[in-house]
Amino acid sequence: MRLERLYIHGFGRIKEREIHFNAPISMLAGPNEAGKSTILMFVRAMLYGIPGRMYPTERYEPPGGGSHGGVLVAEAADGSKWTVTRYASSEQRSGSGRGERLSIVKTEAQGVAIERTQNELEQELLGGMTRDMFNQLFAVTLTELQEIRTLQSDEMSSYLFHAGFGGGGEIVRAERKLTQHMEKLYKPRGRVQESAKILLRMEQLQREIAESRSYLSKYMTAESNLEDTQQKIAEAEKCKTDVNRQLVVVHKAQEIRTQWLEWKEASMERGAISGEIPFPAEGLPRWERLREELNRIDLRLEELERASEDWNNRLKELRTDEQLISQGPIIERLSSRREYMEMRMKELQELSGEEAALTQQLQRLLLQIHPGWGISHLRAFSGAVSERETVRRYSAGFAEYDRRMEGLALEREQRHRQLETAEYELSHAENALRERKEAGKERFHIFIPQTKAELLPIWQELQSEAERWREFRLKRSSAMEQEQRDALINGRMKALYGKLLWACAVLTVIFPAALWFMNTPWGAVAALLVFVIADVLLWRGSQALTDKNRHSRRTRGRLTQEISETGEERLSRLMTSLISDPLTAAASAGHRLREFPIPEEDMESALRGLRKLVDAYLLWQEELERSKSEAAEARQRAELLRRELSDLIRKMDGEESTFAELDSQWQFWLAERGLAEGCSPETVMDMFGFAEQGMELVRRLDALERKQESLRQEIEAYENECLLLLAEQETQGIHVISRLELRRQAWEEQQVLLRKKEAVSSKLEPIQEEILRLNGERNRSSKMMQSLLDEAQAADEETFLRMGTLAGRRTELDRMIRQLEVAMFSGWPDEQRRVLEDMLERHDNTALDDACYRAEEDLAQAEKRWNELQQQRGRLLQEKDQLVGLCSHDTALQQLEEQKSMLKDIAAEYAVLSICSELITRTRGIYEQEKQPQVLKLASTYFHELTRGNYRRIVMKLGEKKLLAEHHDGSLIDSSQLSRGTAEQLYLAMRFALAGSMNSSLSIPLILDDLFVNFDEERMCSALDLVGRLASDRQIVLLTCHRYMSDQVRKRLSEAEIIPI
Amino acid sequence: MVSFKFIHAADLHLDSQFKGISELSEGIRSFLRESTFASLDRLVQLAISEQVDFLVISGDVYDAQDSSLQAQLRFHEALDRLGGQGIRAYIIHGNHDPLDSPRMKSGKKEHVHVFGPEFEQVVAIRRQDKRPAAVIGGISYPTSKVTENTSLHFRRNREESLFHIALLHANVDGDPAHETYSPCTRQDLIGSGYDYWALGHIHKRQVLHERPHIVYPGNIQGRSVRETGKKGCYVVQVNDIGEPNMEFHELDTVRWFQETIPIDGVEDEEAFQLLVEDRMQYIRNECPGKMSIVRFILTGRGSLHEKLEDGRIADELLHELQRRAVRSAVETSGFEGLVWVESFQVRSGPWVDRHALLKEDSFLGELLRFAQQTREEGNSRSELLRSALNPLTSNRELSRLLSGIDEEEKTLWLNRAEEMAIHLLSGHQEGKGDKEIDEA
Repeated sequence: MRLERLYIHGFGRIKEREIHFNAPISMLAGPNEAGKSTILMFVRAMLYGIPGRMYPTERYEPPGGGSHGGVLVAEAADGSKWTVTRYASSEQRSGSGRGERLSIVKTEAQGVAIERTQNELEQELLGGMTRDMFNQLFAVTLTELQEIRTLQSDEMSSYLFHAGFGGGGEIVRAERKLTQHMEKLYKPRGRVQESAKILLRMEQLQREIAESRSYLSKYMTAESNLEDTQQKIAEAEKCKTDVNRQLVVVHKAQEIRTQWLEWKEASMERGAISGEIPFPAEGLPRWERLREELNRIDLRLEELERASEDWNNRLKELRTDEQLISQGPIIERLSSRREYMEMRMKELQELSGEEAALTQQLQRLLLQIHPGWGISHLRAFSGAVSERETVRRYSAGFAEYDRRMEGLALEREQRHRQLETAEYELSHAENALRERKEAGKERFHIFIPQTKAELLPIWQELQSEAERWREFRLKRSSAMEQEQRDALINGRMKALYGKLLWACAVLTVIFPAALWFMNTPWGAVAALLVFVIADVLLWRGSQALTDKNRHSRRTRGRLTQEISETGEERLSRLMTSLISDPLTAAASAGHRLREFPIPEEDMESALRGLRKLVDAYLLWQEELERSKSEAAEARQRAELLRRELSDLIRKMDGEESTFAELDSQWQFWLAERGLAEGCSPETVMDMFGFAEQGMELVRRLDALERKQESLRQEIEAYENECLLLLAEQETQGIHVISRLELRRQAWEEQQVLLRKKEAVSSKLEPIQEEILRLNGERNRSSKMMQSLLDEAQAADEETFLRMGTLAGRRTELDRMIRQLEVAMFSGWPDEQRRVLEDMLERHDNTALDDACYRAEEDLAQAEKRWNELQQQRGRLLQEKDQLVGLCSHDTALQQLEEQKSMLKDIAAEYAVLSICSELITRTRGIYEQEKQPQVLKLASTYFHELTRGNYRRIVMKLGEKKLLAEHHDGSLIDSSQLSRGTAEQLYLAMRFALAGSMNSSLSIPLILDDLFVNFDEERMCSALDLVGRLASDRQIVLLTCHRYMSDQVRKRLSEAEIIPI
Repeated sequence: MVSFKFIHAADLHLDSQFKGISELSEGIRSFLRESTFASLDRLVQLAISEQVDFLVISGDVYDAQDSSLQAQLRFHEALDRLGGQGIRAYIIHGNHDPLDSPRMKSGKKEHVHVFGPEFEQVVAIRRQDKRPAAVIGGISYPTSKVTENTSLHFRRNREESLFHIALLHANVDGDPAHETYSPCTRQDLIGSGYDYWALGHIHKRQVLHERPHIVYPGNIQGRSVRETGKKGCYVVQVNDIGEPNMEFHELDTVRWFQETIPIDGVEDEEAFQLLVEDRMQYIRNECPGKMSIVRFILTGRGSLHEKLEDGRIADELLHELQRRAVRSAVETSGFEGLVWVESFQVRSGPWVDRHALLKEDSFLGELLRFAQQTREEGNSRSELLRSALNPLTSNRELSRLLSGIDEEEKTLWLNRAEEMAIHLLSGHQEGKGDKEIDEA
């Protein structure tokens, strides 16, 4: 890259300044404030953007305002030209926003211009160099030159290293990374590292393991202890059993001591009783029982004898009536029927009452039928169906007659009324005819023809004549109207023709003239001719009209006269032939016929009157005819009715005779039955009903009779029976039934007596039986007592009793001894029994107690010991089990192994890292000693040159970011301790070296702002020489305010151009 | 001579721990703890089902230092079961369970013979007809450290025609992987005249010699990644002319695997995971009825290495697989076919040309050259390691741990450190300066 042209539109104090760079080295020389630094800043700003308002010192805003910015043109290495136009936007922008107007155009060597962005500019033109790097390396002011001392920029330092040996930064980073990793893994006395955690866990596990390692020995101890304990337990058990056995004996002895004493005593007493005594088993109680039995029987017997006697006496006291007893059942039967009989009697009474009532009712019925009738009549009167049928037939005959008679009478009445009406109508019709005739004659006498037939032809003729007359009149009047109309039309036409004629004439003159004038003489002539002809025609038209008018007016006058004359005459003639009397005609037809011949208008009205008259006449004639026919009709009808009436009367007479016959037959029938003559069949029908009722009553009466008879018989039989029973009793007028009742009561008393007697004898019977049984028993007991005495060989009862007592005592003693022995020694073998007996013999009560106490104490001790041993055994067993359980789930060792493994992994990792780190460190040492970076080498030569051999080389401490200068005497001096000028020379050398080691294809220009001010002349000269050499690789721009600088440049660097500012 | 059958087992190490394994769930931990006992049960079951005449155990029944009660109890229980079947047991004590260690003495068992600290011989009889079948000589460790060549006590009586079996807990020919207790040579053993040397102490199954047979049956349950493969015992059928015929029987409950996965050409995490899962499936198929523990060793060079080194994909995958295993142990099939990934050992390197780097005049080149030089030079190597591991030694536990780590492993560490350095320093070497600036 090479700067070609700067156009500063406004930047700092500089305005509208254009600078061209033509040589590889350009020196911009000018006094202070000429704007050298401004130009440097301008280049920076053009390439990397104008700094924002946040950095006012770098922004270089024109103090007076106005445009802020400019244009930079540079040539890239490939020959393309880059034009950067950049202006800070004038308006205020908020914050750090760097508002600027930017246009970057890349014009390639072929002349193609392309718009580029800032980013592309930095990448392509500046090789991706950052702003800082550019500031520090290429566009350098004196202040920035110093900055390399601190090597603040990481970028720079790594670059520095990289240029030397394959990534100095990488080495530092690698070391850092390794250290970080290592520290994460392990740190002596670290607490948070993974290894520390594992170590902690291991310690813990080891403690656990120490515990679990003791299990085996514990188990073994427990086992040997257990064996001991088992043995001891066995011993204790034995001891316990011995003591226990002894204690049992003592206890037993104590327990049975009293019993033993008793036993001893009984044994001795038993020894005293000797010899056999023949005494029956259970002899004494048996004797006792028998004696008691005997006494009881005697006592009982005595008691029974007494009771028997008592009962016998009581039985004798009770007396009974034998007869009554024999009658008892009959009395009972009768008295049981008594109530029934009483009911029967009452029924009988009721029946007789009913009979009386029925008889009375029958009498009443008979009276209703006929007063003379009795029951025999009634019985004779058969209510047969045939009889009823006969009566019904008679009744029907009478009823039919009545109906027919009634119908005939009604018809007769009707005919009679009709006849009367017909006759009235007849007279009325005749009267009307007469009156109408009279009225007509009087009204129409004026007519000459008398009849209708005569009148009609005349009238018709008159009418036709009148028609003709009217027609004529009509023609006449229309002709007159025509005439008037024609005259009017002709007048109008004439006026029209006149106007046309005038117009035509004017045209005739003007048109041809016009044509003439228009150079068409022939046309004019023709037109003239045409118009003349038209004029002529029009004129003639108007003339013709006048003629026609005149002619029509003439013809009309003649027509009217003649026709009217003849018509009127004829009419008048006919009228007269029709009407006889003009006077009457005048009266009827008004003023029309008064004058004759009548004028035209009158004729018309006369005709109208006449017509009215004739019409009236014709109407009248018609009515007259109708009246006549009506009268004739009425007469005919009257005649017919009269005939019908006489027929009816004949029929009624016939009916009357048949009725009389029937009636006589009926009267005969009644007499035959002995019934009242006046009875109608209907009454007889009723009688049938009564008779039937009567018959019913008779039947019921018969039934009652029969029932009464049977009841009466029954009562009688009952009474007879009672009397038979009560024959021997006195009859004091008391009714049989009452007596029976008394008898029954006596019987009942007797029955009570009988029952008592029975009860007494029933009690007596068992007593006697008992007496018998007891006597038997008594004998048996006595016999048994005797046998007992015999068995005991006892003479009497007293001996027997004594012997009995002795035998009893002996048995008792035997039993006692046996019982005691069982109680004392049951379950004890003989051997032990002897020990026991021996003990009892030898120890008294206190001694026994003592022995017992001792034995108990021994036992308690033995037992205590045994228990203790058992507990110990339990504990040991439990411990063993516990140990087994514990060890079966113990994985601490394995866990420890795992932790160890993890620790080992960590250790291995750490070791690898550490070895790696160590390797790097050592290699670095070698490197620092033997190999310095390429940059430093280059810088060293530059430095050597600049210091004119005073210093040999620049040394960099790896990782420490420190530059050292090696003096030619071999000593190393830290850059900060160098003199200012030397230090600056060192930095300049570094800068040149770095710039040189940068990618050379881009060869970014160096812009150095008065860097040599602190150099002495010699060193400045060497610096310039160096610059001169560097300029072969890149463009160099020097800025200075010192004349001697420009002089030296001019002298030493022939290719340089000096641009004064 | 009579024909007979016996079982030769050794190094039961009952109730000993599984080493190098972590992040276990409670269930799996219990299962692992139970595994040695389960193997013991299987041994007893085998003895019963094979109807052997007796059983010899060549020491290290349990780890005395753990003094596990459980181990003692279960062992006695197992002996009782054998006794119930009339199977006799001949036992010597080894360096892990010497006679002076705490032992349970629960009464003398008629069918169990425990050899004392002095050499002794007993005659074993055949179970079915009580005929003498074999002479068994043996000697127990009185203390845990026996440095004397005890094999020299074994001398056959030439007149004795019975089959001779020697029980010895020893490191024959000085296997460096195990402590050299009771050191002896193969020749010593061959010269003794015994027919069958039933050895213990070396956990790897091996037959050192035939006629006479010198046999290590290995332990019955592997307990660390160093004890991979099938574990069990030998059933030895001796025919009537005294020729032993050995048959190996698996007894292990949990089997160890060590699988190498080269990462060359493995593109990304998914491919890596698939590879791992594939390998696990293979293991599952290998021993479907058992639980397996596997250590994956990642070797080779590839782009995956950076991710292994940088991110924690190996750790994450490990956790994921372990989590899955824990879940499946709780859930469906229990421990059968369960594959537990012990760890991923990263021994891979980034995809770089190491030789080119070695020659490169760069920091890394310098570093690698330095490392190589150090590795080869014993003194500077140990000096480097000492200074690198110095901080760890300040902790007692860690320093004890470090002391237990062998040179081989330390070399591995050094290699890893180199790879890490390459990874850290070369990752962006080809990148431009600008890029690096971005990173900062």
